[in-house]
Amino acid sequence: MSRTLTPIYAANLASDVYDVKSVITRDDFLDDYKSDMEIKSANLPSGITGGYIFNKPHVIGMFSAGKGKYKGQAFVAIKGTASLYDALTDLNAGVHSSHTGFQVHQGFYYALNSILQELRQFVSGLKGVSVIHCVGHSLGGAIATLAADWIKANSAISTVKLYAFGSPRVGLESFAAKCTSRLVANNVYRVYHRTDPVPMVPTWPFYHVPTNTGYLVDSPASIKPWEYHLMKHYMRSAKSAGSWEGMASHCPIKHMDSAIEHWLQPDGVVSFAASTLEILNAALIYVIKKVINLSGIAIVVGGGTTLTLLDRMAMYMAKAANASKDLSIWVYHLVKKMAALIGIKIKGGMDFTASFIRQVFMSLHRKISEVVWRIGQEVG
Amino acid sequence: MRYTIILTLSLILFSGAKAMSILGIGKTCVFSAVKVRLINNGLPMKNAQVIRRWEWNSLQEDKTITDENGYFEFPAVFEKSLARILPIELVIAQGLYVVEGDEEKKIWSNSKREPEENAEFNGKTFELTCEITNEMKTYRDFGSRMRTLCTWED
Repeated sequence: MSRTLTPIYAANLASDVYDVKSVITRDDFLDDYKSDMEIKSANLPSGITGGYIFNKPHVIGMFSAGKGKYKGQAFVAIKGTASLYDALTDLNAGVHSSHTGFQVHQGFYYALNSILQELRQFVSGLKGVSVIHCVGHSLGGAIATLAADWIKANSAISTVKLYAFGSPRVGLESFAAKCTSRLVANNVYRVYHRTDPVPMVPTWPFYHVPTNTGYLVDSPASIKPWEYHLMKHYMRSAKSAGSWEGMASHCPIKHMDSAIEHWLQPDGVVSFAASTLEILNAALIYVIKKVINLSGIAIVVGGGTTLTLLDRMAMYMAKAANASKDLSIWVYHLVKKMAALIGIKIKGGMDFTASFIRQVFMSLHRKISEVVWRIGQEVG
Repeated sequence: MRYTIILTLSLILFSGAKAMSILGIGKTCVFSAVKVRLINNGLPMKNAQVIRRWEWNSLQEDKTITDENGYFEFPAVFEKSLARILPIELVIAQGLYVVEGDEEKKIWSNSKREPEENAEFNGKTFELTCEITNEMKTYRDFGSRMRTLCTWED
């Protein structure tokens, strides 16, 4: 009895769970999976995935105990962004302390929160189950990640496996690291196409789970920016790979500190290619860690103020730049490099205010968004 | 941070929307034109009521009656939605039902994932023969998941 879903089974389930939303196709879904799932006892959770912009309860996934060859296992399948209400969640960004105590994307937090009571009831009612498979695509992958993390932290289920296709980044580094260690990296099957823009957002300081691996599948350029975000391509990739071994597991490029420092140095090359996103992300994290480690300044998020994470980041960067020479040089290099990427030349001796740093960050994000869109034509 | 993400995605969306308007992809076929022959044990089902339903933005339906030879047809239906310019999976639930007495019998359903007309059968016209006594089966031959008792020519 296999305790891991095959790529094609996981991809089909991530795609098919979209069909639970409509009364026209819901019965078909249940009929197709009746030999693998205790379909009569399956829960169809109604959730709110419109965050606080528009709230509209509707069915967003399916929980079921397994049967037949999946006896002793269970499924949590969450559908992705399939309507305007769902899509709004993706724009509803901000951070919130997760149900396991770490900072995550606010929209994803509220989406999980809306089904948590049903998830809790489902998990507590499971008998003789040692493996739960959490599956999802896009936003569904993000909610499945939070669900997997919550189940592992709050139940005696020994193994929780996560299968996420084209998922955006879910939480900050502390969440990603904790979730990765909680689930164990080899229980996480995060599949993403090279030209799928959704896994590229939110950008820093959000991280993927697992933090150091992923099933990166090459995909060609497309005139439609998010063509390779669609499930039909993930299903094709899964079918063609046949097995997880067949689906090449690539580590995201890990930049050495020396390479980051070289890139940050004034004589480092500045170009705005797709790969710049990766080194820039690494450089930001490198400098932010220096700020935190050397200054003891914590980047606190949440709380009762209206400051965004970006505001705080800019504030602390400016504070750090003025606090110590060791730090100011790296903040200076970073801001100068970011400014260079958006075509602003910084002269020596210039003071960095929080407002200036924020403006540079914002302008760079604007440029990044253009690159993310262009990536579909540049890579492949 | 919220503004950053909104800005990032808004620009992506703007770029996508621009590309779509150039290509005229904003219009979405929620149900292609249908031509079906309905039979019961090989005999045409005359004057049978047929319901077509679909759900994208909302649940919709139209109805028709089979002719003397068991044939019925529906025209293609198109809808538009802002959702089409967002990076989301297009999911249109589709169903064909035959009314038998007080009951509706589903004879065909599909999860349409492509905006183009005739995407249900990968570009081929939607022409079926439906023997009402057949068992429903699931097909994945055309990318999306289709469940039907009907048959079609390869």
